[in-house]
Amino acid sequence: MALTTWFWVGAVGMLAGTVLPIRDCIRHPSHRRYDLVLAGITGLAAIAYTTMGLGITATTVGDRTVYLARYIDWLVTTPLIVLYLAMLARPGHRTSAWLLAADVFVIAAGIAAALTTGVQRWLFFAVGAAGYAALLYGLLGTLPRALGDDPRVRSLFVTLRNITVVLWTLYPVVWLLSPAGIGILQTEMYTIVVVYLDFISKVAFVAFAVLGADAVSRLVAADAAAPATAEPTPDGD
Amino acid sequence: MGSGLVARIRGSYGTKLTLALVVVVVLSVGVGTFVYQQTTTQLETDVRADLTGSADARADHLDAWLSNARGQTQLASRHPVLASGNDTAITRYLEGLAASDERPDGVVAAHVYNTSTTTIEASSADAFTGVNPREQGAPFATDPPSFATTSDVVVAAPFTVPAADFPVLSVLSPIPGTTDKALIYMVNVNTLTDDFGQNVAGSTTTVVSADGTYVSHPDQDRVLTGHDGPSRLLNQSRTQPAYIDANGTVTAAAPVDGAPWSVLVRAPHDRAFALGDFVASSLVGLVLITIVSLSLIGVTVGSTTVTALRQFSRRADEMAAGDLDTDIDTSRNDEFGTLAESFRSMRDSLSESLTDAERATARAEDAREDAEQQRADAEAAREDAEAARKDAQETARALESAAADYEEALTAVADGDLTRRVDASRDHDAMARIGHALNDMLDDIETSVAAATAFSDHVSDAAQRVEADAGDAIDAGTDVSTAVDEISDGATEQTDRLHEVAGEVDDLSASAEEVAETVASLADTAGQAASAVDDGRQATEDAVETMDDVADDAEAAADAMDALDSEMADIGEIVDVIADIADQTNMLALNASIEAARTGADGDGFAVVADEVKTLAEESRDAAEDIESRLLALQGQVSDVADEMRATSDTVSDGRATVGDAATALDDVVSFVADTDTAAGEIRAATDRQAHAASRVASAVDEVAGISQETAAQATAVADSAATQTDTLSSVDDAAADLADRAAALDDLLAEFDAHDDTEPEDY
Repeated sequence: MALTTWFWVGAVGMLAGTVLPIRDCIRHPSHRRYDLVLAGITGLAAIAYTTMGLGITATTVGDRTVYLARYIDWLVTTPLIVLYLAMLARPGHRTSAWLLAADVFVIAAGIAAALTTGVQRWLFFAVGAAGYAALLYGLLGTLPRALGDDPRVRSLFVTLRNITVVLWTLYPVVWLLSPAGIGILQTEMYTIVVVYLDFISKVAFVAFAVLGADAVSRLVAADAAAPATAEPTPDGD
Repeated sequence: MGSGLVARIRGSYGTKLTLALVVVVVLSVGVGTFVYQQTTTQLETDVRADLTGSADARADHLDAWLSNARGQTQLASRHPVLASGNDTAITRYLEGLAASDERPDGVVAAHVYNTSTTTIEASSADAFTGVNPREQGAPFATDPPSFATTSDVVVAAPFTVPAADFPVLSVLSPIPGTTDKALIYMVNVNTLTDDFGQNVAGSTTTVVSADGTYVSHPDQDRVLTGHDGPSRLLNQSRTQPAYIDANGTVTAAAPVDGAPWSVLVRAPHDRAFALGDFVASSLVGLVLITIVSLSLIGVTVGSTTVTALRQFSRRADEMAAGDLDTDIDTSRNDEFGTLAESFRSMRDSLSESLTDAERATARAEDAREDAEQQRADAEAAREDAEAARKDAQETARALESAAADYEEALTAVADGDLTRRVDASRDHDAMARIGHALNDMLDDIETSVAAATAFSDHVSDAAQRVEADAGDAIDAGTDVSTAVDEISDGATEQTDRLHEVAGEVDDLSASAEEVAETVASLADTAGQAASAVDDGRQATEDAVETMDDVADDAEAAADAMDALDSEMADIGEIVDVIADIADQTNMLALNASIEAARTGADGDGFAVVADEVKTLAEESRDAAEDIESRLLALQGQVSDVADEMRATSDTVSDGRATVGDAATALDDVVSFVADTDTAAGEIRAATDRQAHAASRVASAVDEVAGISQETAAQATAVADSAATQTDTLSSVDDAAADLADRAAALDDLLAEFDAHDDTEPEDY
């Protein structure tokens, strides 16, 4: 089958995943901030897959084809996933900022590795792996410490965090096996595996986040009960 | 370390799950590797068989062609025409051969070649006639083959000639009947290899001759150039099929039996084994997808299960530590939800049992404290009783010793020692009093005895003087009697006066009680006043309600009047309409009369009717105006009434406010009355205390009066005694003489008693 077929499969899957947070937002308008982030994760990925399905943003590096849209998608949606985890754990602004920065750094290194050849790409891969180690430290060590006592929020955070950590760790492995790496995976199989990984790490993440919406309700209720800790709205409406 | 790891795995559900998933992944990888190995081995066999088979088949194909070409050439060379020397016939024959369907594939021309002159004497293609192949470098001419017999056939090495634009192969056979002539088939080599298709992807087939040059190659330019493959393979393929996989190329070779040639089939290694790479890729992809799926399952099922179990464990620990107010989340619908529900009911039942136990403990504690208190009370009572018993014992002992002392003293006194006294300083009050009384009695006895002694001494003397003085004494006794009578009278008077005082005090008490009663009645009056005020307030509230009703009624009436007013205005409008109709009717009548006048005598009847209508219209208008003026008047009156109603309503409102003030004033009165009530209570208490004091005074006065009465009675008795004494004195006089004798006898008797002499009687 042509590669674009798999891209279209990915686009449809992401679109289906976007329905969940939108439905939750309609049911619970107070979850709007959380649901917008979730809808952004799958919605932007759906747009990226649509452009890849249309064959746009394909560029040739060396003897292989790189789809820039995939990396731009990751550059935007992975910070949204980290942001959602931070919104559950509520660390300080500085912690959130460095986590997001580490995530953007990792993806940027990945893009650089994808667009270069020879020794350079391994160099960028190593730099990205180091950044990913820092990000893992933040997700496994720093964020849980900021977590409140609510068991539902804890449970939801741990589930989503583990999905993210385990599945994201598979990406560099798949990249190593891909034509860009040692090349055991052929282009079509690589595409299938990455579409599946993307689907699981985004749609499953969003689905479990929506299933745990009662934890978000508790967070929102706690905000309403203690308005002093909530972020002030500039115009009050 | 090993046992520690096992313990860790045993102790953690998450680790067990992870381990199970890792085992599944490892198993998948193992199976995948095995399948890949199998596939690769099989593929290698297949590729080898394919290439070798292909090379064999092509070698056989070439062989078959060569033997066919040899046979055909030999057969054609025997034709008698070739040996006839008739050039025209030979050329025709050669043309027939070249065009024949039975010629071998690839034959482009047939020649008759003279090996002595090395020229082509005749040819199916005119261009070749007279050509000297030796000069052109054809191998069969430069290196002429030797024919063993006339039926021998030689396949010469291929060559290129300027006359042909393709590599040429020559098949030669001597022409029987001649000595130096041979038939040559010229064959286009390319047609021999054209049908070497690709049965392995990307493969190429070449034919290499024994000297290492390409007889056939897909690339035309390479034909007759040096072979660039491994020479070992080529040498080996001379005799048997060969296969080699080196330098990224897979090559199979097979010998051609009919010529010193080898057929080589070669293919790039990666294309020959592309299937293996595809299988590897697919297997790795499958394993990766398995890992991703298992990761998702492990993370979600594992995380939620482990976190849920940890929460349950924590809740259970908290409950074990006594915290039964923990929040147990029961929002899940699966077994965990059921478990949470069970936990909650267990906690609730524990909480209830604990509360019961605590209550029972508190009750037991209370009972224990009560018992303790009672025991302490009993102990105190026992100590009190002990103290009382000791006191009683001591008192008894004191009484006993006092009684012994007293007995001893009285015995001594009875023996005649009148100076003896008892020790009256006793702790016990009654014994002390008895002692004092005894001492007083003994004092009296001693005094009396002393006096009697002295008396008896003097009686003798006095008896004589008594006789003389008895008369005086009688007079004096009479005086005493009189004085005592006076005293008795004074005492009686005092008693009377005291009785008066007592009566006055009684009066005081009675008046105090009167005051108290008055105050009580005052309090009752105040209470009545308060209830009266309450009635008054109730009455004012009723009045306010009534007034509100009146005001509402007045307002309603005024509104009704307004409604009436607006209805009248509507009637006025209707009347206006009637008046307008009347005006228009009038106008109509005027027009009709004008019309009647214009038509002359014929319209007289019409004119009369018009006049009637006009009159009627005028009357209607007058009536309408009349109604309107009356309506205006009525409307004015209705407005006035409505205004008056409103005024009434306002007045009632003012009245209501006044009544409200009255209610407030009544409230003040209520509070005043309550104050009065309190004051009256205080007065009553004071007078009660006063009455009580007065009654106490009265009882004291009564006591004093009793004492006075007694005094008076005693005084009377004294007076009677005095009188008796006076009478007695008379007899005393007589007895005095006798007394003197008796005194002497007494004196002797008294000498037995030991009494103090200092108690001399002062006067007799």
